[in-house]
Amino acid sequence: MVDTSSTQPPTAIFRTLAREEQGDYSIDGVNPVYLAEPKDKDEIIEVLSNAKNLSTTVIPRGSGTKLGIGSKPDTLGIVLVTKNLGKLIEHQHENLIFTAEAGMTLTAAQEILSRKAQFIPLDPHHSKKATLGGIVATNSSGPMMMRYGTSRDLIVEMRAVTASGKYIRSGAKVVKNVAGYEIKKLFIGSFGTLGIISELTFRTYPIPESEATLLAQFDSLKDAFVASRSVRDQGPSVTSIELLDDGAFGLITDSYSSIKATSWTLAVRIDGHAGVIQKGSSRISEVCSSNGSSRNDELVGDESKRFWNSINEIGEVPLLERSVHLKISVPQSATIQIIDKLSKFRSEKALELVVNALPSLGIIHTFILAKDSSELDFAKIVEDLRISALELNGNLTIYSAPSKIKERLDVWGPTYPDFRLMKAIKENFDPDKIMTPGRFIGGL
Amino acid sequence: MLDSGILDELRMTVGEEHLLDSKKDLQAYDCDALTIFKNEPDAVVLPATTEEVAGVVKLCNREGICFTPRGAGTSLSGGANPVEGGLVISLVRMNKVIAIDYENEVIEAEAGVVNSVLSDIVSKEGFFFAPDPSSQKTCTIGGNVAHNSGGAHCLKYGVTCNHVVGLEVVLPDGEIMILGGHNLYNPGYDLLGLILGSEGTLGIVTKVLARIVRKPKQIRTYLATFASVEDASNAVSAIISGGMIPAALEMMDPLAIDAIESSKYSAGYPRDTGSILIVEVDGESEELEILSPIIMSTCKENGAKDVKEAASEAERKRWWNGRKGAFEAMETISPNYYVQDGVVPRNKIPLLMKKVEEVSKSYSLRIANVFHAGDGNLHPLILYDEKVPGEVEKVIKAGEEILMECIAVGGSISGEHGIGIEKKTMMTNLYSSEDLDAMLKIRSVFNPKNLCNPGKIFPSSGACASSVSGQVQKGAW
Repeated sequence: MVDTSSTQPPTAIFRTLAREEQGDYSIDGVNPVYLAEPKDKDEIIEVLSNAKNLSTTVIPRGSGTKLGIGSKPDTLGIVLVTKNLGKLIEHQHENLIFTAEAGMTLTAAQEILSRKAQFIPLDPHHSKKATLGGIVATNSSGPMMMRYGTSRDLIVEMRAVTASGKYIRSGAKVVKNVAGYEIKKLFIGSFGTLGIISELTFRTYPIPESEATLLAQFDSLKDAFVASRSVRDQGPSVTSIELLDDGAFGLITDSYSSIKATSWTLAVRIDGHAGVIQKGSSRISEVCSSNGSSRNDELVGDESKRFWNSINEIGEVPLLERSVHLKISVPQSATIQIIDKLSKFRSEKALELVVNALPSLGIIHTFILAKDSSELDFAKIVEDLRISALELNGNLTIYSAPSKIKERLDVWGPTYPDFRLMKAIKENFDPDKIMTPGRFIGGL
Repeated sequence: MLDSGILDELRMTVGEEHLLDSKKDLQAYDCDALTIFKNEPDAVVLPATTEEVAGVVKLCNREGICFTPRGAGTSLSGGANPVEGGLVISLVRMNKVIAIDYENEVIEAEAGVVNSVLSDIVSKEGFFFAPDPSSQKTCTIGGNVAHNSGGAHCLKYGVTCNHVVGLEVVLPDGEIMILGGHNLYNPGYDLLGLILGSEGTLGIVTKVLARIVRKPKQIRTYLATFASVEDASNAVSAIISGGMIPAALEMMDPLAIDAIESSKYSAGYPRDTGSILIVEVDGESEELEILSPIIMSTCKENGAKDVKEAASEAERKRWWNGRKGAFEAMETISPNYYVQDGVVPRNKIPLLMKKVEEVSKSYSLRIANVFHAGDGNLHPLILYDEKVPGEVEKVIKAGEEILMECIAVGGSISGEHGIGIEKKTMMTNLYSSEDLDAMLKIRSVFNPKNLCNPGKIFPSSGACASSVSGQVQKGAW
């Protein structure tokens, strides 16, 4: 590894970070040495080839919202920031196709698309700040996944520079394509371990004419979960179902103080033509009432949008800044078992935590507060939860944690026999181990 | 030829009667639905379990014998053609539905289960399996995975890769691997996504865990008649850019209509017109009340001479039967046909149609057009007679010229049929050498000896240890 104190980069393509700047780019308490801000693919290639010559490493960074995900790096060489890769390439609005450089923020993309009443149906945590490249590299998604799927369902073409400096294209700007291997799918969710994504083409969707959200309050988790199953079956106008405990609901709904959370809130978004919303909403309301909801409220239009935006930003609530954020993925029918376990943790072990879950997708996010970390054995808590998730044919990933706590945790959990293929792919694409080494599952 | 010791070992693995090696049997496996190229295998095995498949593959790996997986043999790109001889491994005996899990909305089936069986079996509970290639009554789910098959309704519902959440695969060295599963997020590289659409070159899919989708409450189907393909294309663009995503948007030109109406698939399409467009919308009844008039007026504003709604479920079925039988119907107006699968940005359809017309004229070949207009996925059907000397070569050239135009306007050479042997030489037109190298790196990870379905997708074929002499080729190659 490089000597961090004195090394000067050989070219102007990246520069040594001043000591006082390093903290802005640190990951899990580790500071990078160099900063690169390439503005096109040729500069990306140059950064990577220099990294190889210097025997140092490269970690890509968009807005930095997802860099908490991953094992603590041993060292950090070059942080490659994509802020100069934010250009619009084209919006073929009549074909519902949108192409931009990977450093563009999702917000900027949505703003451009909205001029033609279209959008990219991705709504992960930190949606406001996150870049397209970062969302894709971490395969982040949110409640809209229920209808629209994830990056792998939405990206039709990708351009990237592989770790060994090859500029490649995968796919085409058409919605159907079976021509060779889907390299782009390998890059989706690869957490920057195979190369740098430089350009992305999405299929876009028309912005629904109107939307509404029904908030149904339940005293019992079981009733709320059963209701979510019936709501799921109400047809395609239901785009998102979120189950929140009172803590999560309270954190995101300061502005909705008129609605009092009891214990569990089921939030159901429906969208489509204005005439359909009305009927859909009352049908969902009936379903919730018949499953035991104590109160139903409806948010319409912008209020509905605001509610879902708040869910996306939940990780930015100051109270949760020092928390251990876990993402648990299980078969959808097992969602209740995980939430039940978390509830018991709260009542029996006096853990302060909040839960927001996607019951029709089997995805549960929880934030466990780490006010006084010395008193809590997070390694044990996480292990306990992970065993439950594994027993239910799922898994648990640590999304973020204060670095002192994270040091003692296994971020990704176990690997399976298919890991040998992943490792071989990594070795083929990144023989010199330049890209984000050691942060991804199994040390990829 | 495989030596008798190997044949005996194969018989031991799959059972005496499930190894075929008579001349007559082998001829039945010399091609799939792409009949232009024929290559006989040295033998065919029909294993009944994943373990038997793994046993056969291990033997092939040990002995350096090429093997080609095969479902129902409906591939239109030659995916199941044993280009380099060796073994054909047929999955048709692996035809059991293993489990249906309505709670998690998935079905688990062996690779040889027929596509439409998946929908039939969950229908009474109100579900269906969405990908619906025209061959759905015969093609297998394993083949659908290999080709990432689409169908008429993928405009709204997506293609196979959007519906498969787990796979059991026998890797080319015989190891059985499980990928994906009942939960939706698994950290690690998306190997599942890689296998989908890899045309059987990275392993043999033996089991599939697929999503089932709740059937729409109501379906409405319209048949719009236009003076030209261009008018119909404009209507398609207007519908999509107007913010509607119908379940299907299917277009046919006069020659296609003529073939269908002259065949057993006759659907009652109007014959005296420039093109027809089938528009299907589905969803909740309130939604359709709003959508239907918009669709009808959009068609009329774009020059539709007539728009009528299917008066009954029987009529709707007849219209779809015609569309889905279109390829076969060509046999009533031509001894042979060759189908192309180019895909272009939706608004480039009129441009491509002009090209198809030009090609038809310059090669003196009749070309019928049936296509998934909503997806920009064209299926020009080039009609020919293989008995006429030089005609096959001419057809291949004409097809390539159309596909080159698809590439030129920013499209691709296959939307749902795959590259197979048919289009592999064109991959260098579509991709750079760096792009192809990256793909070959992936192949070297899964299939280092290139024994598993060799001679597919990539222009340069790796040499296979066995039976190059076994090739019988018809047509230009």
